[in-house]
Amino acid sequence: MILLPIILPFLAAIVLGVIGTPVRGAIANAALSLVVFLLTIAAFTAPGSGLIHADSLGLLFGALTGFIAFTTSLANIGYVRGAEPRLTPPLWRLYHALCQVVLGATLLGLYADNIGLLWASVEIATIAATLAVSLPRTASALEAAWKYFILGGVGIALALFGTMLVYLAAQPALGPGLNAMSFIQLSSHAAWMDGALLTLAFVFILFGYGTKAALVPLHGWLPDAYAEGPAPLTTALSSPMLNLALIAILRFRHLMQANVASGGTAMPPGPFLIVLGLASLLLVGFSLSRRRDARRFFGFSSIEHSGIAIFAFGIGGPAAIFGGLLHMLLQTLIKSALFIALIRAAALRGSTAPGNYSFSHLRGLIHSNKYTAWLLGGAIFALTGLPPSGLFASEFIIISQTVQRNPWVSAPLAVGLLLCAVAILRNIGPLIFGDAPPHTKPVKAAPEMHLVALHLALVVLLAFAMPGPILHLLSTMSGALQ
Amino acid sequence: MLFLLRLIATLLHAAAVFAVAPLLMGAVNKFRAWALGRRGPPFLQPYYELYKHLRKTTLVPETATELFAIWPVAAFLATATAALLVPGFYTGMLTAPTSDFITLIGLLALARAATMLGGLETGFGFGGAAAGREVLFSLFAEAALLVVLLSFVLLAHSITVDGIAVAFATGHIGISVSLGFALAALLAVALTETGRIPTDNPAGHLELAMVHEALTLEYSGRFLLLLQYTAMLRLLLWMDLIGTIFFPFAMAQADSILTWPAGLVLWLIKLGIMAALLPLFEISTAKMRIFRVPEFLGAAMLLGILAGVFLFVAARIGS
Amino acid sequence: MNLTFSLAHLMGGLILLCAFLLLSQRRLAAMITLYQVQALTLSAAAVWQGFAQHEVNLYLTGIITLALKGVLLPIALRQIVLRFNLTRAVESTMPMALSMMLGTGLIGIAVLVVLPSTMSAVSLTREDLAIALSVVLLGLLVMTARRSALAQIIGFLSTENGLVLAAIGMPGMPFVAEFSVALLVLLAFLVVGIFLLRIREHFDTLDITGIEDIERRGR
Repeated sequence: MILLPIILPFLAAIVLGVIGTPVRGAIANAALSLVVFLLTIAAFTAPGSGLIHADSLGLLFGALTGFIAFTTSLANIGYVRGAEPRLTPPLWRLYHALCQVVLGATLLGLYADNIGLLWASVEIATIAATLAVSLPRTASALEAAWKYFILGGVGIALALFGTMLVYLAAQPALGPGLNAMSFIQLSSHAAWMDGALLTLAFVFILFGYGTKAALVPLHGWLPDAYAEGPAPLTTALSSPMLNLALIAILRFRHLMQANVASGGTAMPPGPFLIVLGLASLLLVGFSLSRRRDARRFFGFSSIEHSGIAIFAFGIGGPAAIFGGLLHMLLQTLIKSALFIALIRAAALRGSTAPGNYSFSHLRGLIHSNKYTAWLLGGAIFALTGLPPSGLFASEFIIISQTVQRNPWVSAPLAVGLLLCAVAILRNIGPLIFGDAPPHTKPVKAAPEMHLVALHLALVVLLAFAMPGPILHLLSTMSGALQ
Repeated sequence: MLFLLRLIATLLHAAAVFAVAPLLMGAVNKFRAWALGRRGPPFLQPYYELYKHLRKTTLVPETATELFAIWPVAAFLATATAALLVPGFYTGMLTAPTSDFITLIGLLALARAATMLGGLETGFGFGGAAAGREVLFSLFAEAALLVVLLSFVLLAHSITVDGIAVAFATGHIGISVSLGFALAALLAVALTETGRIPTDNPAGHLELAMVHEALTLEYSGRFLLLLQYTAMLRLLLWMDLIGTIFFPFAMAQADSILTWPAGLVLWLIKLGIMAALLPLFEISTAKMRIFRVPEFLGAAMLLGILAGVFLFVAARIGS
Repeated sequence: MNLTFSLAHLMGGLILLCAFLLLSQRRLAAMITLYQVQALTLSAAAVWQGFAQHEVNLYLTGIITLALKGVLLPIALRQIVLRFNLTRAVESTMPMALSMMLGTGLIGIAVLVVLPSTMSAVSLTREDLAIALSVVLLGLLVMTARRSALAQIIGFLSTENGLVLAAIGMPGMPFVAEFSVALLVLLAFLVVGIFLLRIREHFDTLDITGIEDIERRGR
């Protein structure tokens, strides 16, 4: 049962890659994504066993990934209609196949109960995403893809080394064999693992998966990839991939924390995570206001949110981890909504090709279409973490936990959050209400905008009136992974 | 009695070294020619040439000082002493306690200084340029050598070549990464010191590119004989050094006469193999530009450091 | 010290030596040759470990390594150099001497970090792991020290070799890892091959300094 949502996208990728016109491919892609979404919901009833054995966290984020993939693929139909002449039909087929591969790989990574399989899934997702970024075949897209490939490759290499070290660290506890690669086994035997080796492993894991999560020293690929690739795949669908990397880091952090808590020789993982998280947050805070291209701008904002989540994991304790997970959940919903809206906004101004996303080109959106403008403005506002955005709830939890557990780092955290919020707020006004470029005519809104509204409603709902089962799931998981 | 035996052994070794050195050079030249598809000079050609130089008039340039005659002799004596110190086919000679590495490096430096001064003697340009290059090379080569020595001392707990050979021959050391690194570093230094490709070309006759040859341009007759003989001894010395340290297995003992013949034969085989490998390496690489040489030797030095690092850590942990 | 350990150690040392020499090479042809030697040594090491640990998987790893990395990849790389008529000498971003010193420093760090932290681990893996980590780090250093795309790829491939070296030294490591590494190389090369072709279309050299343009626009 749990295998279906993983296998289906890979099979679908083969079919989508071989046949179909661009628009039909997009429709088939949407239909398949719906099926996968439903399967990810169904997976809650049968979480599997052995290599593919999802825990509640994996299931929850799996369902989120399915949902994002579904809404993105719906929005993608309109995108493909508008952008069809930009790529040849074979490239469109490849594009849709890559969409499915990324989806399948992300689900595989979320559901796998094996550190090797997790690594393999991240690798597949990276290769697919790299290819996707290179699709437009412009010089800048190729450069962005090259950068992505080099940095991603380095990250994958480091992560594999870390994975092997974890296996080696588990030898005293679990002995050779597959057991020493299973998260469930590892976390129940964390106390007997070799602490020093585990610390070394964690450094590699952190930098390896941190590259995928775009943490600061290794973040360089993300803004370019966001700005240059085909928009729906490289932006909206990339948040789940970031989540995958963040969850991987969270799980390894748990191993280390468990080892420390039971008197092992590992170093406490908190400081590593806090430093990386703060570095990401502050770098974005200081450089965000200089970005002129909207896709690059919100790419940087993704780095910020990865940093916040990692910071929350570094603070530790059930509440902070709950806050971090909630932040990831909401951020993913907002970011994909935002990019769907952004693509529509660019479509209102003529073209969705890269290079048409500068703030000056899009300004005064309200003169083109009110509905789109308000929703885009709402999505951007939601990113700042001011109420009524759902991120307010998660950031509030994180900040209060920081003050409680580690008050010294709350000052830089506050500075970073404030800087980012100011930089984002400064752009909303001109972008939505500013003077439109000359010859701007009102245009009808695209139906995709309703998806954006749905996402934003979900964000508010999840943050302030979270349904009981989800709340239960999240809080038990953050208790277990503290 | 034992002392006498060892004395005889030492003298025999000295005789063998002096006798074989030109033959070794001849063999290298011959193999090189073969590898290039030529017939090549006869194996005994170096002896003929030395004899030829012996009969020729020895000229002293007008601009030279009185010291002109001293440098070849000094270079020869220093190199010859060093060559006698390195055990070739048996360990435990009388010279064993004095065969320590630092002495060897010092003697080689002395010989090099003498040749360089000889090259500078008449004040002509090529000699001076070559001397400058020689200084540049030796700066790095000696540093690399000293670093490599460090790992030998750590491994063998002995500073004499003789002691290192004995320690390595017993096999307690096993094969280790450090020795591999040290070998690579030592080979690089040896190629530089003996003036082979890729740092210098022994067959080159373009004055601009020459290093070792340019230093001897002004010498003739018996002085040239001495200098050429020095070069041959130096080649033998380095081959001995590498062969003795890295392949000391089944070497003879100076105090048991029965092992001598086997040791001698083994020595000749070792030299033969190295004489065959050297041209093979030479014809497969190109001579590098002068200013790349410090880089080449710098790499050798770093390899020596790496060998030391691995040994040091292994020693601390006690594997 | 037994033969198993010594030989594994020696081959690891050879692989490390190749990785180190990669740093000091300026010419693409020499880099490819060094990579090939490294890969061949690696396959021998894998087979030897298979023999020592009685693992069929490791023999398989050795054969895959031999076929793909020891033979196919170098041929393909040389083809790229020939076909695109690439500049044979590679530009470096830092002086050679500095990069070599950094390399030595990295090896020192790797040894110092791994050896104490693996005191309790099996002795067969301990020094192998230090060597493997050094190879990984040196490969990354090659990637940062070279400007040409192909040289960076060779650095990356060398890093991969280090990973495989670490994997074959792990006692009883399930085959998942090795297999995926082999796959990765293949896939990576496919991706890279496409890249090279396309980058070629847009720039005339494989010099990737153009990336800095993006950075100026973006930051």
